[in-house]
Amino acid sequence: MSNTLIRIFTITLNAILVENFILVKFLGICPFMGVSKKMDTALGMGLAVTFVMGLASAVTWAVNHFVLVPYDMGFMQTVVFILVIAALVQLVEMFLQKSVPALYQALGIYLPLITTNCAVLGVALLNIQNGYTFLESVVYGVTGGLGFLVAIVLFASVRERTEYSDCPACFRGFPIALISAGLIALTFMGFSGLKIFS
Amino acid sequence: MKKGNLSYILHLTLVLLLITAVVAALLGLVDSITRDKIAAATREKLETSMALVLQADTYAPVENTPAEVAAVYEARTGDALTGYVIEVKPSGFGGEIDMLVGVDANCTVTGVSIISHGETSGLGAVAAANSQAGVSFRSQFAGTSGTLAVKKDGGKIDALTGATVTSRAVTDGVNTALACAGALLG
Amino acid sequence: MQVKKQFKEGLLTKNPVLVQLLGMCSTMAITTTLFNGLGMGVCVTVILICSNICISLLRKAIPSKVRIAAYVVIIAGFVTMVDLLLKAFLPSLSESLGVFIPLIVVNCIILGRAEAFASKNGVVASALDGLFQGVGYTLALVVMCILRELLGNGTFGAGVISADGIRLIPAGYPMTAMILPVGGFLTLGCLIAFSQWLTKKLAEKEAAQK
Repeated sequence: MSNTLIRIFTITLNAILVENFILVKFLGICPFMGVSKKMDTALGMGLAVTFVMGLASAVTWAVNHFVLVPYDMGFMQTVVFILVIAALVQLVEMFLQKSVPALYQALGIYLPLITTNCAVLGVALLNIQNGYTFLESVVYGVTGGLGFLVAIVLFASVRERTEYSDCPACFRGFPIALISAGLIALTFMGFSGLKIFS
Repeated sequence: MKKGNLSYILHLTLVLLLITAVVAALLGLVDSITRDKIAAATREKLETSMALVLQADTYAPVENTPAEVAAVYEARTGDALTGYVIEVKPSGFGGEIDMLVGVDANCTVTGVSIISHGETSGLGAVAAANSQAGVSFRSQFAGTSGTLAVKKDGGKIDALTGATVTSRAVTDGVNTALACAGALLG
Repeated sequence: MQVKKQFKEGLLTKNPVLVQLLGMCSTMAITTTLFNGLGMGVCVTVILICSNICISLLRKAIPSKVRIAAYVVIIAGFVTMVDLLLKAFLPSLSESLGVFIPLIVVNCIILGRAEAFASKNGVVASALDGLFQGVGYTLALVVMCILRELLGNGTFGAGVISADGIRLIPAGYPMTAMILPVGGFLTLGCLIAFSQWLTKKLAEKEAAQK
């Protein structure tokens, strides 16, 4: 297998299972907790995040490579990235509303929430930090989003049940949700150290 | 578009532009103050780490290094070759571990130092820490040669408690560095 | 009087982490040693005070349509400043917190306070709000750190008191899982449950007195 292919596979495996954005890296907890009460909303949010993370990875990589690095403006990285992401989310929202109304109906309400999702800014910053190429960045963005999708869908299906379960009053609602998330994180520890050998 | 509407949009744009410009200017100022300091801190860290793994007068980067290692520095004391400081990046539990390995002219490890890593705080991160456990973990490598392995894999290296993956990765890094130095020393 | 109320709200009744449930990413991710928790808490507090002051000063000049964008730029500016200063003067902290420093930009506490408080109140009140909310956040972080470090690593104050900290549980006995991601979720869940229980108890007591 060629080297690029191995790297891509490694990134995919890491982003989805070994270093899952939510359960291992703790990025994007707010939407994870906020919109995981029902299965269908969780699925919608997961898809929207995957889409924006892939897109944001591509755009921020280009901005960093063609604007910030040549002009030696690395210090503006955070400011520029967050603005790019905010603008991107806004554009995606307008585009979907105009041309794919069905998809907009499904994802529309989650899009504004994504701007302040730290998984999106996180993936943009990590791409640069890890020195990924353009292709690797996009793959990391999309698969990182898929990892988010897997985690939020798993979590929503657990949470639909805990809502009706009998637990101590003070644990009801948020605390029990956090504890179930912790147990899912525990199962994901089984993936640690998983590697692709070349 | 109505005139009032246009001037409103202009107003919005102007305010945002102004805020962004002020922020950019301020950041430029902070950057100009801190840039040299950050560069100096990074360089100093690299130099102290190099001195830590292999004591020598000068360290010169070697060109055309094999793909498995990140960088190789030739260490010289006076005119004599002391050995090589080799930077390797094995993958650990939380991504790559950026580390330096000192190898002397007899192809024996003189020291190991970890520059940066993403290992779990309190477990794998101990490998890089300046604590007692961290120092004793790293000092195991000094004086070794050949191919190393952690005890679990039948070798002699004591793995860190709860951080077998990290310990294996560091051991792998040392092996890569030893192989590279072996090739360089002929 | 107002100050006292703000103080109580920031630390207890409206604690940003335990009651408002804001900024959970960093709360769980970095609370593995006391050093990290204190460092992060101080950074967030400083940024919160600065951005609150700035936004409060500009609250009349910023048109409401673009206010979120304007706030985000201001906050990102302060965050980058802190990031650069840490890299230059405290590289060890900057390394150990890593990507979570730039991610303070999307920490909901800061944008949340900007929107809910600083955009409606005067400079002094906003600065105080930033201080108390920041201290409340730091407090929650420190409690998390102490618990997780003790249970997961068996030590107290690693990196603050001495490199290894004070060992309270002999090596080999602590539950390693507590400093892994799992521990973050479990500790925060229990802490919030505790604060809910406490709030309820206090409310009952108050009702009984009346």
